Amino acid sequence: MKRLSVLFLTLCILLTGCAGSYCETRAAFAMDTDILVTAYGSRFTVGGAIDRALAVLNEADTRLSAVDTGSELYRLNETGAAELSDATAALLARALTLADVTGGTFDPTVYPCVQAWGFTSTDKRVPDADELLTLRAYGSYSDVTLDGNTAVLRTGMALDFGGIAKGYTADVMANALRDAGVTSAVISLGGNVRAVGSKPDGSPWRIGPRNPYSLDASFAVVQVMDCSVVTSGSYQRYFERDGVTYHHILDPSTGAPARTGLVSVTVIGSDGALADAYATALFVMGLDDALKFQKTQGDFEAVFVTENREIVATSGLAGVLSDISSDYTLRYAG
Amino acid sequence: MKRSTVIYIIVFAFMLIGCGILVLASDHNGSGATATVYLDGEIVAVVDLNTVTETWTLAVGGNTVEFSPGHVRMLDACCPDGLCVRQGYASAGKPVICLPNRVMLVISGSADTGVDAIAG
Repeated sequence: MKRLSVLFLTLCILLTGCAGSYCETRAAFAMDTDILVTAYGSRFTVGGAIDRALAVLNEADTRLSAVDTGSELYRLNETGAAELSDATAALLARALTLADVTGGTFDPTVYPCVQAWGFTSTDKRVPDADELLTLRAYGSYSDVTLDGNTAVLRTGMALDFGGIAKGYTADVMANALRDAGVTSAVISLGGNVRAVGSKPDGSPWRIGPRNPYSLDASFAVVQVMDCSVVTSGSYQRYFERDGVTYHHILDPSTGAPARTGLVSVTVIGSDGALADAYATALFVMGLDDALKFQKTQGDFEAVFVTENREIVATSGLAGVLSDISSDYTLRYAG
Repeated sequence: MKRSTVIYIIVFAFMLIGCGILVLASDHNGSGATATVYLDGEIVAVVDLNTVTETWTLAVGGNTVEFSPGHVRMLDACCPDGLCVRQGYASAGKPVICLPNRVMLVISGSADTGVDAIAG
């Protein structure tokens, strides 16, 4: 009987190794970008889990779009006051907090300037400095009133969640996947990446920040688990006029494209909404101020690509960052 | 046969059946690379690239997708920027995307290409 028990236990251990991992990848278009969800797990649960994640994506898109006439945000921008849903009010509160923490370098009220540049349409133009300052004078994040779920804007103001919505939504999608039993997945909302758990073999996910000078490749690899990796880059959306390139990352203090010597900023953090907002904010701050900011906050890491083809990484990424492209030199800050 | 032995055999038989279900449930999607072509989020073609022996093309949403042995790329696109054409062949973690025409080429089931996703 003892021998039989040992055999039985051995078989139990061996049989538990049968559980490999089924993988499913699904693509979609939402939030004006491409969506890719890859999830691992049981064949019985993965498909349904991705369905749930895509359902919450579409729900968030319906609420948060600045251009969809049926969205809560559109209604707020049109009327100047609106009663928001709990989720949208919570996101607005978060956006205002992050705007405050970043000293206004991330500011959802820069939207009228985004429109003036034509980044929300196909008709690009170069507004002059006076026009941009007039638009900024309508108000900044500190002029938004949020009382309970009631949001009120000053006349002329308009909000855009473009700098936070994808990071926030990736977090919500990750929660939907986890609730449906998936513990290993990677989500990309137009390059705004959220890693859920680890790879099925327990190793970290390998996420490559896009190479601004070779867009079909990455300039490095960051190895992460349960983390967001978000990049803001001047190469992502831009146009040229009279030999000058104008990109979409606007400095809220001027309403014009931020020119700080940076080409891209990648933020790595456990909070997707924060990583998304900080990627924009750090780009606007410029390298020196961004590094000081990172030291004071400490709840994220960052990688900067400069116009001089230098990669500057925060010290917490030592051992996490690898596969550096030979096009660049790398240094760790502080 | 002792009663306890019978119980062991029954439990083991259930475990074998359970294992069979687990193997089916966790079945990997084949060893080869599969290309899935999406138009506006809907699947329009799924091609096992290991079975492609000669080059052929598929018209999708104003774009032309080219399949060749082991590879898929956007050969031509009617959009103004043509970014997707310049992205070259799709690979795991690096889909080829045409945002204006909402066409996407996604690879799954292939060997590790170094990254699981591109950020930015």
